[in-house]
Amino acid sequence: MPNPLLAASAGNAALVSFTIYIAIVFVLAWLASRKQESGSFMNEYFLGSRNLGLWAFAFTYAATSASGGSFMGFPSLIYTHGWVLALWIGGYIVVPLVAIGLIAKRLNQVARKSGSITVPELMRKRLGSQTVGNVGTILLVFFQFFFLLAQFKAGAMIMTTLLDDVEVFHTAAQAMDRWTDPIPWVGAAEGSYLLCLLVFSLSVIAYTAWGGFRAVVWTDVMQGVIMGLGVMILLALVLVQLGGLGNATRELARQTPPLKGTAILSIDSATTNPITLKKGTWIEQSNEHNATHKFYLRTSQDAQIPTGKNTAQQNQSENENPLHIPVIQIHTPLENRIELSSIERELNQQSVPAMQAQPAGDFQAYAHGAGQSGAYINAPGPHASKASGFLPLLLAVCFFTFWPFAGSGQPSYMARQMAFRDTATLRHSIIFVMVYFSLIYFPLIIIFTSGRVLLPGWEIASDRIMPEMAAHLTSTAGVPWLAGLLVAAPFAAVMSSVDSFLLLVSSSVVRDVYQQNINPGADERTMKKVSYGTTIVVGALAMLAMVNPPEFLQDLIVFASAGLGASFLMPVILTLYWPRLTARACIAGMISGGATIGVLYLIGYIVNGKFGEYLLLGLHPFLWSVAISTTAILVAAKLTSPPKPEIVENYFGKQVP
Amino acid sequence: MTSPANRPDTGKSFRQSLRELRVMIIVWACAFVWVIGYCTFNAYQTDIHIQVPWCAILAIGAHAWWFIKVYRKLHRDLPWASSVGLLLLIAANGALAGAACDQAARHLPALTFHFIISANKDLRLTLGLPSWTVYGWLLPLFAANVYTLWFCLKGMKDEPMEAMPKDETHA
Repeated sequence: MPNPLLAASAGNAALVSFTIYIAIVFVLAWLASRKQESGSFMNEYFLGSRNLGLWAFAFTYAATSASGGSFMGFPSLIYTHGWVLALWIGGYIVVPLVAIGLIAKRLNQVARKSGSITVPELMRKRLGSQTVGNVGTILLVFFQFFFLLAQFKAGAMIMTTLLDDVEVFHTAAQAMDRWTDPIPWVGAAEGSYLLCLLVFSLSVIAYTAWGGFRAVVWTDVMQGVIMGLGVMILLALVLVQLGGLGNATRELARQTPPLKGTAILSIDSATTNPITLKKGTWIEQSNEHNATHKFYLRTSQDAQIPTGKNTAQQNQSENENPLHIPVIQIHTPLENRIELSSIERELNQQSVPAMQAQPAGDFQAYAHGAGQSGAYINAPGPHASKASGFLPLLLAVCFFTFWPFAGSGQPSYMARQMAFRDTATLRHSIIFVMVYFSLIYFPLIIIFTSGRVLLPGWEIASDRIMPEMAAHLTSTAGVPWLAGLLVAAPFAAVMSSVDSFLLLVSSSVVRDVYQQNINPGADERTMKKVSYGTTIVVGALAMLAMVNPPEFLQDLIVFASAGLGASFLMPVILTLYWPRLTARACIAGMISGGATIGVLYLIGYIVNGKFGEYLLLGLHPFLWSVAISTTAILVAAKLTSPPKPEIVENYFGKQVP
Repeated sequence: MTSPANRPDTGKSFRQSLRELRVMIIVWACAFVWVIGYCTFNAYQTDIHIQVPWCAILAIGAHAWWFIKVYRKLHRDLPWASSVGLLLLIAANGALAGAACDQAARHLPALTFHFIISANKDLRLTLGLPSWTVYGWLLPLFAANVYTLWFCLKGMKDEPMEAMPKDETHA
């Protein structure tokens, strides 16, 4: 369990960092809004007048790419499954060159030639069909809105985690609970979550609506700097405290996955005052120790020993027996000195008396990797429920394809690729993103695999490993104030993604729906009002939808990401590079790609009984959707009349037959 | 506004972009062969059992043939529906057929090809890291970065950008 004093210090640092951070964001939005007055409103508000220089383009691309998942979900996966995550993100070694270089130059040229601001608009003008634009808009708004929802929830959750140790925050959360309790539906959510959702949403909606694309880009630059600095500082602290990387890797190689079960926890005599056992309390099983290993339990729920009793019980029991406390059991080899000293340190910092533990039934082993040394440093990586492990070979193949190409197919990246100033900016930005990603992703794996040795037992809440590592490393190094900067990194990552997605959805609604279908003759003043209004309304809708978020939100993120890639990757690539592409073929490709994802998720739901993908022949739905989308486009193009020669000549030149 | 002398040659610009697109795909393919090839034989601690359900592959192949046949007919009779609504049904049908045969093959081993790649059970460290991450991830990352650097500085061509047409809003 973390030291409360250190935790409080890190929490206050987080509050100070957060306040400064929000203030800077609003200053940037104000500066961006002043800049708007000097340019054409639509081009400026949605694409920053297509004038992004090296730093702006490179940072906004990198920061939008590194969403909350990179700093919360990814560390959690590394901690849970080990070094196999290096293979999982193996495709990132070519992401800067392939994902940006694949379409960026051509996309920018075609967008300029056609005067397009959004991706559906570009497809509509290039193919000369209103229907293409409408289908593109529907698919973009549909899938991107799921993405937006997920990021709103992630933002609120990260903020809740960061401010968890701040007293003022708890007082405000309790007040929020009291106000919202009587309100149907809203009252069902926790006050702390509602408060964070409200603050997060209002901040991000306000600065995005106010400053437009330029504010989003400028804040992305700041957020990118925070993320990069945060990772570099964490890496340095980890390496210093481990005394070399080899020590951590050798200890990790000896680790085996924990067992999961329930235990009856007791003290020698009845207590006169209630004793709180917070989630994460350690219990040493001295009687189980043997010549090679020590055994420990760690609680994975809050519990309490009431006055006059000597046995712990759950505060809010969902089990049949409240005396059965959920725990994990860790077997630590005696050779793992760093890991053992970390556990002993946490045991000594606990303010609970010595306890005995009696297993309540059998402990459950991991489906893959149980009792297997080396499971955390090799593939396929341990997994609690999948017998084939975290990353079977075919899935590794899928992800190597998924990262570079699904990245190319995301409209949020395409919007940025339509906005750089010239090709020199593009070339230098690819180099910058290459260096930035190399300095972010590989160090993250080193940091959080080492986390298994420095902070063992966080399988109980692996999503918290990033802020816990930040608090632990900075306090051990004697610089607890630095935790504020480190924990701001995941928050910056989420915010930089949310603002981009918010503007993308509103630009599609304003440009492709309102201006094309409702009011084609709208003047600039009307467009201004509609743009501000739409950004605010889209953000407010996302906030309201997330008041009671569904449980399977993480799966929705993957679904939305795959859906966007499937719907736009091949249609956009062929729109840019294939003169023979027809409007109907493009529509066929978009719909069949999106529909394949939908169908394979539906089959997954039917086969597995829960929301998730179906791996047909062991391959990820994204690969199937791209294959089917490509087939549909090729067949449909072959069977439809060639496009008008003047359109082909306009975008491909005279020489093309 | 770009001067006429500096206006980009659309055809030339398109062909240059196309050449660069091919380079990206070749780079990805090289990285794929290196990383996946090396890691297949060196990163996995357990035997890799590769099962190919040939009945599912046959089902998907047959569907592809049927897809083209049906599409021709649909295009003749219902051209718009063929491009929009019914394509969804065709794709759904293919996925369902493949999934059904995939499930059948899982329960009937006779319907699959099966071969094994043996596990690498040795623990080897290089620079304090698991060796497979150095040779199967870090080294290809370094190679990809060196190539990216060269390509961005020397291989990728600068081109004049198109002038933007007048905004569609009515000032």
